[in-house]
Amino acid sequence: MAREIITEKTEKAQREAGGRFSWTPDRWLWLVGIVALLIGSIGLFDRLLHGLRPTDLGSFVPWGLWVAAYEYFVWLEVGSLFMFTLLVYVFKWESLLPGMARMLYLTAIAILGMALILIGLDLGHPFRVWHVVVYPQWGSLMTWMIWLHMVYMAVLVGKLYIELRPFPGGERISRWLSYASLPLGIGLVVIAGSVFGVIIARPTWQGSALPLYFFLSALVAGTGLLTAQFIWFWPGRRGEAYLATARGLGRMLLWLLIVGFVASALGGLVILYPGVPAQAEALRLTLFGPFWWVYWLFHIGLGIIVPIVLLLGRTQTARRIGIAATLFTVTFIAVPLNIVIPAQLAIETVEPGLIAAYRGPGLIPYYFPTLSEWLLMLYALAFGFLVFLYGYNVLWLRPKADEHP
Amino acid sequence: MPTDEKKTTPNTDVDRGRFLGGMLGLSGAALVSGPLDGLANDPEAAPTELGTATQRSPAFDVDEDYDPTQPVDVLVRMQQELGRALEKSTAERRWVMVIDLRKCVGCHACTIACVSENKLPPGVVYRQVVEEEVGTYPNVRRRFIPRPCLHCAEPPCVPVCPVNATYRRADGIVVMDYDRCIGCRYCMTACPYSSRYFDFGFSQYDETPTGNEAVLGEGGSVIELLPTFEYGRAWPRQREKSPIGNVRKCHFCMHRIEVGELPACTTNCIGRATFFGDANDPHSLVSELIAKPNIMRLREELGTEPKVYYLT
Repeated sequence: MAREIITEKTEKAQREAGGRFSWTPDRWLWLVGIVALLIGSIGLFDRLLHGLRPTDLGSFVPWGLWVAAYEYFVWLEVGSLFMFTLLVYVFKWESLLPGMARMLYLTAIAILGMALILIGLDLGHPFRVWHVVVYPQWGSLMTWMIWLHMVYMAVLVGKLYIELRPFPGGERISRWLSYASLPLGIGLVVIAGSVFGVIIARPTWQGSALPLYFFLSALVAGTGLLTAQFIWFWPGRRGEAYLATARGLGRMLLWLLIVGFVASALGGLVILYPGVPAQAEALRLTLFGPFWWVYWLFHIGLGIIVPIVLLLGRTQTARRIGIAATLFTVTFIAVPLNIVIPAQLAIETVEPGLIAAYRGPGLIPYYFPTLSEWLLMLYALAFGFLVFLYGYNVLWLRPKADEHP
Repeated sequence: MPTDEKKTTPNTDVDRGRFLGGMLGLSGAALVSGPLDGLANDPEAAPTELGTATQRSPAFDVDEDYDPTQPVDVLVRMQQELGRALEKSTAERRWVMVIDLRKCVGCHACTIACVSENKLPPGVVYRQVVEEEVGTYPNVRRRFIPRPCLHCAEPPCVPVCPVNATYRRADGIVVMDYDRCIGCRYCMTACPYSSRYFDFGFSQYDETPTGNEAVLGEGGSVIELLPTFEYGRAWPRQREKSPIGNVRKCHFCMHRIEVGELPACTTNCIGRATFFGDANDPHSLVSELIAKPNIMRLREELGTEPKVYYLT
């Protein structure tokens, strides 16, 4: 069915173009995606040929950009579907949102691909990833995170399959898969947070706060993505119902953003108030360290203040809400970066004298992603972008106005 | 058998003879002589399993004339106790290291011995010496704290491994399974003592000029390609093969212990500040030392129960 539609569309486009090749916006996007993928491939080959040596990772900062990006992608992937399922299936918000289903599944699959590329290549031995299946240690939260992610992937693929190849009874299965995705999603993000929360060696990670922050982050980031996608991709982008849904999503994003900000500010103040160096140092590095701008400019400035101002404005146009949601969602990657990296940089407060004890590559408390790391990140983003383009333009996984849950 | 040799050794001057014999043996051990000679030159000759009694160095078998009441060099004594411990099953031993901070002079010989023994690449160190300056002038002194893996009885690094690649043996040594490790580095973030290091595959000769060997001499990189014999197996240094891409850590020189030799850091400590032995042996030196009131362990408050003790 989808293919027939595609053929028709292609033929129509060719007829309109008089049989000549022309640079439509879609083709430009494909070109951008492919060029980005090719440039990013340099990072991929560098990683495959030289292991983790081209990175700025070391023994004191073993996790960097790729791990932070993985957490960010998990939040987006799980959060957007979680909010969608919650709103549509549990709270029965049946106006226009159900029509977003297929595009959200497609987005989640694309983001999942990006996450897996980055976390897979972050391993010292990426081709041994099957060991987690064959020799799992169930006492490790990382095992649970990986297994839950695999199950979540199966649920996503199942739902997308039903969207692409509908069959009798498929809708019911799809609904049940949606219900199943709720606890699975909560489990995945909470366990991803617990992976950090159980680490007594890093005072700012350790504790029950991080799993809860991860869940809250997934909700806010997911709402941001859902809002942005709805506003920019809804067919026609006009009408009362469209504006009402956009405003509803915008209000929800605003409240979640405020709640998230207050919760993290309170958490930070509780750590800073007693001033115990082992705990406060990582936070001090986040706020006033060499990469203060990641927190103040990207996260607080572009990610919190500007969106809140936009969302609080009197005239709430869809465009305005869309800009706020996009800004917030894109800059939210600063949050996992600030969770993952500064806690490792603060090694000197935990282990005084260790840095000066021995010299060698990777034995310094400093980290800034190398060009190779950024290139692999670009590769992952381009890969996800092309998967999305393929689904959107070829498989026609677009929002449908007449969809019902 | 080595025992026969011992029996025929004249025992006229027990202390001096024992001391010299022991020291000769220890010097040999430090040079990786005896049973490890074959290993060093021929990776194929490496045992696939850890040492058995027949592979032990003759110099280190139990000295039946050993009298614990006689004063001997601590290395000789520990050597004898090691032999005694190896006669027990693995589960009956409890390896412990004691470091006397009052005796440590900060010479870093243990670090160098460890790097040499395990052929550690740049960026990987199993036993660094942390230096601290205490007090202010004129009441100031430097303190040196050698830092191997502490082989905790409750190691936070072990339960986090998603593939069981790191575990605690029955004798208390926390080890790595290089073949199973996926290199996720979770154990590194979990170690409260930062005693785990990732092998990125760096080489001492990275970015140095290369040229015709006839002119420059034999290629230096050949030395780095020699295998390490950790865990009783030869691990040739090949591109992106284990232990490259793995997390690495101190293993109390398990491959040496199993053939009756003390860990390289202990043997090479010029201040006799490092002691090693079986805490399950009530007559061992380490048992005596850990019962002293001035013993301490790092970050006791975490409850990790380290098996490396410090005398202060």
